[in-house]
Amino acid sequence: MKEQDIRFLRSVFAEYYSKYSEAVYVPPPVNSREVGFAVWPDRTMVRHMSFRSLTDVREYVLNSPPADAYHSCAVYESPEKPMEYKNVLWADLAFDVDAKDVQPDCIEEMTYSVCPKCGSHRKGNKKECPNCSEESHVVEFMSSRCIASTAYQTKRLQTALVDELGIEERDIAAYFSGHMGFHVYVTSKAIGELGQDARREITSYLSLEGVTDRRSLGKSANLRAIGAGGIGRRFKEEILDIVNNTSQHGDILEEDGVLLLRENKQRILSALDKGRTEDIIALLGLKKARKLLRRAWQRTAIVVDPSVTMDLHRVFRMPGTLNSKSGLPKQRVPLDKIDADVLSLVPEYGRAEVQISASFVPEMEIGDCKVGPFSNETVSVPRYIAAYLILKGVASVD
Amino acid sequence: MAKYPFVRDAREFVGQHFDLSLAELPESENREAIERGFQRVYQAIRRKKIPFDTQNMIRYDIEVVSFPVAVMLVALINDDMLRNMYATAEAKRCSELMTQDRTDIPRIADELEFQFRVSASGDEQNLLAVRLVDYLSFSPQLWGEKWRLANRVVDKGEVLVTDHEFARILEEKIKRTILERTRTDVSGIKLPALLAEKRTELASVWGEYKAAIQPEAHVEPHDVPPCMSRLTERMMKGENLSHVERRTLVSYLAAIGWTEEEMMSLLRHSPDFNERIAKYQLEHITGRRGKGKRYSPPSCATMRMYGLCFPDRWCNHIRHPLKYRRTA
Repeated sequence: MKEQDIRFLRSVFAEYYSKYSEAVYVPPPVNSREVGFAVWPDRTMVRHMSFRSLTDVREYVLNSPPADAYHSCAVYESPEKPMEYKNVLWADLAFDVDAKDVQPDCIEEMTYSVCPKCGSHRKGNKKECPNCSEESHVVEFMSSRCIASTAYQTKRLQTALVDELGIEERDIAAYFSGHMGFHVYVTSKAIGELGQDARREITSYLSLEGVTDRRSLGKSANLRAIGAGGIGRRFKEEILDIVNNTSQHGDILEEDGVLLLRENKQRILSALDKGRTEDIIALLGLKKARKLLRRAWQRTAIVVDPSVTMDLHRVFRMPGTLNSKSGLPKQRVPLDKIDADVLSLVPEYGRAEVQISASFVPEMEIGDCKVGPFSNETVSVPRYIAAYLILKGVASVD
Repeated sequence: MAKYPFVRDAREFVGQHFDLSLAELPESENREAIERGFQRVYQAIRRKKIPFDTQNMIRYDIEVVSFPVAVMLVALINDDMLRNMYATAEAKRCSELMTQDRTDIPRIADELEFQFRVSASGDEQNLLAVRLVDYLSFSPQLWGEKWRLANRVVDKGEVLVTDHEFARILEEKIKRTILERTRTDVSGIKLPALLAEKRTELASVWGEYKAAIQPEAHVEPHDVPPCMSRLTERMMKGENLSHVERRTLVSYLAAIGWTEEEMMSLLRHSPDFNERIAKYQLEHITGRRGKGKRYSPPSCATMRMYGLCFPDRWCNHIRHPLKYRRTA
């Protein structure tokens, strides 16, 4: 990255923190958590820091705005010591719901290969520019469609945590990561003392990993999963959802299946109520019923990244701080607003216009701001959009 | 009380008989109790189980006192492997008794302050609801597919188990309770002569047992995936690995070239080690027995299915533990 671009990014980040340092947040007890920063210019990671209070953290961030800021989910006896001497007392149960796991295809859609030499671009992840055989720069732009489906998974995760795992709503906090994912923290004494194995078991449960019953899907008459317990309820809801939105599932149901499902909707619903899959098979025929149940089962899984939840020593992006993948802040999303367009919640900063030269930018929207398409041109955009495009490597300040 | 000497009543009973510090154990009356206490540990090492019969029920005073004696002896030897071995054997004994007499189960649960709720009762078995956190902390999920949380009825923070399964969960809780007690710091306690004698005897029995365990073969820690190094470490600590876990580990070690003798030395660390059975199973896995089919280690997908996958960043693009390489 060019020196003037880094200087520009630092000024945008500083502007954000001068306005919103009060939004910077570390869950209590602040003084027992490890804090880490990636610092400008080359985003070197500095870890194993600890602060006495939230005020101290905010002051630090205000005085030396970092590229990224992190806090540990674990609460340590000695957070400032090297890993082997920290000694975990307990740790938030934390989940990472990321678009790359939830819906890889929508990321592909927003992936471009841009040639740094001639500025030509192509869709997808291509190594070499065909014009000048220069190595391409691969960019993944944010996509609101990706964010929306990730938000939907987050919402489902939250519901399962409450209804199935019995976690109190007040112990759950959900955050938009500032880029393409959501983080969900569960803070409760009992849960906090669970070890790695138990956390692993929770993610397996949510994503249906290791379920032995699924082999009998569409074969045996009475599926345990229907009717009993949390997974059963989730499964039933997914079947209902398919029955109610048949047109979205034409690929597996085909025309006659869609019709059949619509005609028999009431009967299928009552079979579900009784937990009798054999009635569904009788109504739709084995082949169609199996397709329906399989798809519903796939959708019953809640997609989270297990390695993140399991790792007690993991650091998470600090709420209220900017994400250096996008220049947008990680921020708390009220549980009842997870479905809403999170980008519209981004607070106001960097609205002054600045001139940049953009190599390639597709048409896109960030919150209420429409950008692009640009191709090898000099344009004027708000400073925070300029920061986003520079961080993506497709623009430079003039 | 005699059956479950760790319960509260028994502790009070012991308290009346002698000071729990054991420093002033009256030798003449408690000679038998000390002998039985020694036997508890000795049998745990030699036979991996602690015999218990009606005779022990009749002499319940001796039985009850012998338990803290055994705990004391284990604490004195101060070796995690012995702690595990003893606690496992003691918990197994309780579990067998509990399954013989189901009416003991709720009483023991209360004693251990383990919360549960009867969800449905029947002649053959009851369905009990235990708290999710307790289930996760004390249920051996890794002991087979049926224990995995994903195969359980989970609702509103509770997990359903049969009373037979509940006894198994309590066994784990008992084991941890006893383990905890054997961790008491007993250095500096002045022992009565008889107890000191037994400590020396036990130390030599244990020394012999440990000597039989050859120094474990050295693997390059570099390219062992985290799932397998985790199993090896747990084995070395003397933890009780499930059948699936042992089979997984052994098939992996065989595939990377460990000899049978090297694998046997590793297996000897397990708290319920049985030379004959272990050898038999080993030969089955390596294909020297049975149809001559050699078990290959499970793929990453299967490891995930078992709940044994603990990936690190080098696991990202591999599908089989044998393909694991640490690059940069």
